[in-house]
Amino acid sequence: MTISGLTTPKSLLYYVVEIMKQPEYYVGEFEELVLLAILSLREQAYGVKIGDAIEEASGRSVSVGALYTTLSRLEEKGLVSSWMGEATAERGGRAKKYFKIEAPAKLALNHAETSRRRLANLKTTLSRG
Amino acid sequence: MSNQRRANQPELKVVEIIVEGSLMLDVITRLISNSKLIVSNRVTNQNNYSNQVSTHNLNRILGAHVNEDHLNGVSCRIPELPKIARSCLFVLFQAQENEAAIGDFIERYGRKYQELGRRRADSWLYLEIFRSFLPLLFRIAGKLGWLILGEWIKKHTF
Repeated sequence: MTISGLTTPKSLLYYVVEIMKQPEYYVGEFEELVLLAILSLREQAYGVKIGDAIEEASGRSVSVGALYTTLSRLEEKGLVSSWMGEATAERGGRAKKYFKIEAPAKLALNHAETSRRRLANLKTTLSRG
Repeated sequence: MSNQRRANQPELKVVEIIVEGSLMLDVITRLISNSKLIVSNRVTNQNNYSNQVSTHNLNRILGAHVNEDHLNGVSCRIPELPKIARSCLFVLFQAQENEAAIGDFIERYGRKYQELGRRRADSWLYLEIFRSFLPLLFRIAGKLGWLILGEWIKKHTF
């Protein structure tokens, strides 16, 4: 869409939204932690275990609401998929919801790691110079 | 312990009693005096909180030796969430998340209950619901916000 074609508020708004839309492989800091936790847990990745893994690794306490909000956002983006597991007595007879990462999530994690490495190298270069 | 003394010991059967909290020991004592049934070392009250009666107390009540090996198959009920907490969670979480999220709360609550006891576990639970409230509220507000924005655009541009 060229700028010359933006004559109405509606078209201008569509142009702004198109610019703002991020590629699906951009993830935030907490999303990245969640994806890494799911990756590390393999087939045992459900809510409580994911929260425990993040708390153990980062020392930061994770609320259930924040975790499920992030998980549902990741699922909408297609980065994770879920399935319902078995119900257990320790959960009051409620089933667990397991998660696993999909191929786009690996791309997102690689992208995040590459970006971090580039910035670290830049920082090293600047501190030497 | 001599064989004769062992033979005179009552046969142990394990039962689970559900009683009002403060009447727990009264009921146990009545049952022991009326029959040869021995209650398990875990009883639950109507709020489904598990209370452990020590073997020492049982020995004191029974006047007999209680062999813990006989106390098998006792189920420990995991405490259920308070009704207000459950209602809040039903409202905040989406339908497909409800079961899993509430299950997570129960699992963590059970752990805290074992570690800290009932009162502190309840405090932890309400704090955790409060902490979960904001991200979920933002999610709802975000969806509503886009809806309102969309309606505004339709009204002013078409």
